Amino acid sequence: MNCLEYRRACLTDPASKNEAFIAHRNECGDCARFADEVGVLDGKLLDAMRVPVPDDLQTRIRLRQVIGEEQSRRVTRPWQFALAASIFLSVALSGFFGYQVYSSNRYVDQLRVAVIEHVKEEPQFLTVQDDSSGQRFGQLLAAFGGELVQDIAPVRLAEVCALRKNYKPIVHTVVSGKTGPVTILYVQGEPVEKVMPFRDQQFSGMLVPAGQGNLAVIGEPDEPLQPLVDKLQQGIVWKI
Amino acid sequence: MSQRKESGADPVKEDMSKSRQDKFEILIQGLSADLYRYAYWMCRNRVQAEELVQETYLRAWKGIDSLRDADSAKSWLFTIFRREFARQFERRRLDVQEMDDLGELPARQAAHDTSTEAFVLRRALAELPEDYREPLLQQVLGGFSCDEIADTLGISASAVMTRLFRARKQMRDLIGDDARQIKGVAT
Repeated sequence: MNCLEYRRACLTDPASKNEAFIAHRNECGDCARFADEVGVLDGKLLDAMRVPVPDDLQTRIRLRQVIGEEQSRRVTRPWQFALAASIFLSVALSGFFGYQVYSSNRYVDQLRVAVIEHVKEEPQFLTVQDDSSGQRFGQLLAAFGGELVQDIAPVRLAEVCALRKNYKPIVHTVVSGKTGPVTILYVQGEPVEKVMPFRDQQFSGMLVPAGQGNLAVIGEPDEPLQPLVDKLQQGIVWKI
Repeated sequence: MSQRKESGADPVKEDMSKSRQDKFEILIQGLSADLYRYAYWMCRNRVQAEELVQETYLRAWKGIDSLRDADSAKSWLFTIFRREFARQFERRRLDVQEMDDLGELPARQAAHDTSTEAFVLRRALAELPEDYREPLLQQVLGGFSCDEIADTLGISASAVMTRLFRARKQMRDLIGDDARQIKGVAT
């Protein structure tokens, strides 16, 4: 490889592992300096290419995934529903219900743990006061199939987050309660059968079936949550 | 030197026999930033880039069962992006010159490189013809080999090498011109 060939190859692929390319660099001081210059330029170029990535890009990708799946379900053909229903019935007849009860309880337990863990992982959200959150809460609910028809409570924060349980996007809202901030999470998945209270040492909460998922309402132990749950049930209309 | 990622340390190349959601999560966490930056440099508009990335991932999710080889995950995703970019470009007839928000970049994030040199480089990159800019982005930003770039672009490896050579040569020329202009203004 001569100097001209080397420089051409260097401008094509400065990181080339070609033996002749590496050998020429080791033998020719001028070409080694040229390669260093190209390498420096590539490094600077990489820095220049690294434009800031939006903080919530990953969350938005997950949200689009959920919305895309929802739209796909809506255009499913009737015969596909019939086929799915017959398969389900066959499985049910073979005694699957017992397992369903077991897995349903397990699912609820996991959900309770996951929502409390999520609140504890985002303590900064409890102190945020963003005046534009009321409108954003309505927009986020709409993305998940809910329409806000009545005010629930003063909304201090509304964001899309991902639950560690399955990394699926959730709506994370914080409102002002009687004794302090109350977190409301909307998590898509199997709705629970009825409103289910839960608590740990730090928080008390309620799981509320809503649309194609559940609302988890979580506050401090002495926070009266039932009035807020009532408002949520009356103030959001879900498109199923 | 071009900063290629070592394949052994790439989290995307973990076990691809996981569940669909786990595979998708690996793609999101491992590749979304690179894909966004690639998208940005293809359309030079933040909103459009984000929209393209989201749509690319949605299509990737729908076809994720066809992704069996972890080594090809990145080129698979970038190929989906290129198809989506071509589709939207055709549909909307994007005028990237009108939408160009290159000048806004430095003000948006304090950690972002705001030096004159970085500005000159970005401007030079934006001025490269798309045929040259795209393989250069794939090599420098994406860490792709010439063969992988050839596969993604649907052209021969020798054509890729020619474009890369011309891209770097033009970048050096453009940077030289800009640097002389800046020097002239400063004196």
